[in-house]
Amino acid sequence: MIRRNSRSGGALLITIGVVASLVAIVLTATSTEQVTLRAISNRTAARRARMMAESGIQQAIATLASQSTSQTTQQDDWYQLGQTGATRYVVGRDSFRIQIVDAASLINVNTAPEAQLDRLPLTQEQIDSLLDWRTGGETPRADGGKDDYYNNLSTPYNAKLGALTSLDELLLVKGFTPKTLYEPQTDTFSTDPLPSKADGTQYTLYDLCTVDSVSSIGAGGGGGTGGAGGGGGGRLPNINTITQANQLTSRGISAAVATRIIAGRGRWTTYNALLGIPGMRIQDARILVDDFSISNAATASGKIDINTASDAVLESIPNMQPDIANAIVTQQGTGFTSLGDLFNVAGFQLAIARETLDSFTTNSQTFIVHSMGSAGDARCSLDALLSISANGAKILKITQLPYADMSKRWGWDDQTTTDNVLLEDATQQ
Amino acid sequence: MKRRGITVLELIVSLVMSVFLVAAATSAYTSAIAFEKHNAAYLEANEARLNLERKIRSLLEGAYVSSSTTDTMTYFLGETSGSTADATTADTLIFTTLSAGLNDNELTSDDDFETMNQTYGPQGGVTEVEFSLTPVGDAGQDKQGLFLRTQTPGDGDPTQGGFEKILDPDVRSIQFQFYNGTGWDPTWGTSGVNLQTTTTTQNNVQTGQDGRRIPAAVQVTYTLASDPDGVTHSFIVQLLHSDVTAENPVAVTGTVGGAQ
Repeated sequence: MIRRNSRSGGALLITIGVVASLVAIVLTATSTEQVTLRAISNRTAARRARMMAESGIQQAIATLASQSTSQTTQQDDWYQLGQTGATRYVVGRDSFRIQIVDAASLINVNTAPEAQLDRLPLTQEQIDSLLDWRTGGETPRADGGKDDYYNNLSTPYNAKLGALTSLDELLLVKGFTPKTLYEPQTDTFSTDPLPSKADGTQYTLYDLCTVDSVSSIGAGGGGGTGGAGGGGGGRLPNINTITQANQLTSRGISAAVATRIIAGRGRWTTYNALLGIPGMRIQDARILVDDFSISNAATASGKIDINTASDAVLESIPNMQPDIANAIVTQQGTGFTSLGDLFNVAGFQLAIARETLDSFTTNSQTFIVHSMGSAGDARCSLDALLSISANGAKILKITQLPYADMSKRWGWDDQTTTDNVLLEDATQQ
Repeated sequence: MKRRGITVLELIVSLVMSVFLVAAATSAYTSAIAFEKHNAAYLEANEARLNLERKIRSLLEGAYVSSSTTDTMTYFLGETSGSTADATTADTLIFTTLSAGLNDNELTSDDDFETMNQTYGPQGGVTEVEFSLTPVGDAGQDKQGLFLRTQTPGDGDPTQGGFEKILDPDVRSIQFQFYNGTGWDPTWGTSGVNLQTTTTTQNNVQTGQDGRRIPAAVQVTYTLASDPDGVTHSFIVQLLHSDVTAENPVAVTGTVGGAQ
């Protein structure tokens, strides 16, 4: 056997060693640079995601610009926009998803009466404390709190004694915590929970409530039985200003009811009172609701839009019956052009009309935009409150939402089904 | 004859090659180390600066002023404290915001309302925010930089209250300018509330509905003690929810004009 020269190939070994160390050095340098680059790109991705979410809001503004203030329907552009988050609007490398929600489809915690709060996923302490927080006076309810309570907290402050500015202002109110606001609640005052969401989970306060909802009232030309008021765009006559019975009977109201209406002028500030007039027939009620107003105000806060409200929100209205709430939801596809249309709903009689009509509207001037921007791995979720008028839509408030999984909380599917490419990705071409 | 070993020439060539390679590798290694060192320092300095910008940006993006002309609980005030040489451009920014935000600990806490208040302080609703080089309270000796004062809930008094901390000790000067739809205003004010403490207040306050508007954008310009002389940083925060546009500007009154 020939003994191999042990030194042959030495140069090769040296070369391999040198090359290996060179590679190691280059790798170290590159990975350092990569960490730096990743830090920078994460930061820019977060900014880009925010800009995407803002683009979503701009898209909503453009869509709501031509929205009617006198009528909402589920056929409106805003209702369809983004297909409940299922459309991905692609802008270059980034994208956003949006959904517009009618604020009047939600319960306004600034105006909801106590009987309605009793139906919500709230504890007795939360109900009392919310009522104490939003109304004046220094005498607290049994489980509520006024300045005496808030001034003795570790970090004291005063009770608001006024309307809440944002929904998360509830966190300043005794008994409320982020979990009670954003998670489903079981330990509630109501023993008869509201209907659950389509996926079987309970609605959270965040799902059900708003602090801003404005709708127009008493505007004419919104449909109804027609022929009333000043026609399109005009104001319906205030029932309390009618002095001649024939102004009522000529529209089909019975003479007996007309006489009582005129005799009681000034008292008809609620439908509960007006429709309670002895001898009232459904056909009278329908004319009164559609052809007359009971207020001189142009707008009202906190009315619930029967064209967009969920069964849970409708059932939160005191004395609302679940089967009527369901029937209203069923008819939302065709829509209600006026409150009088409610009398077409099976079971909607005078008694239920008296109890519920004061809570209802068929239009909205306030909308909430859920917008989620995506850039790289970064996500940004915004809620914007938009108000519409004849001059178009404008943003009143923007809130960045605290959770990373807002799309799930908004009830959106994980996956989008459609891409709407607003701008091609230049880097892919 | 069987060849054994390597020739001198081969040895020399391979030695020379090795020397070159080792020299190149050493130089690459030292420069990589130097780069990393420098980079870490740069990143650290930059990180603090970017955090500062991010904080100002996120609070400004949620700035909220109600449209009610009788409201004194929400405001947007960019004013001069009179403590700096430039007495015309705002160096103090006080406003109410809805974007003070909740952190993960607060969101996942099972604590009750009172324990939350004790642990994290009050949360939610309208927060009053102040950025200023001059602390409202006694900051203590040698404490300087950009101070951030936050008060939740805002109490309608823009001059004091809440918690004050140094946001960035490195900031030596700061200026705020406000886009009014046609140009940059050096100060800004909303009607209803005024800072009574300042002597050189030059609010561009409009009356009525115009007085309840927020600027379309805020330009923040600042210098850092750690920077070489003459270096200034600047960034612009656009307030998407402002209704101030070129078509619908805030009318400028008085002598204020601002750098265009």
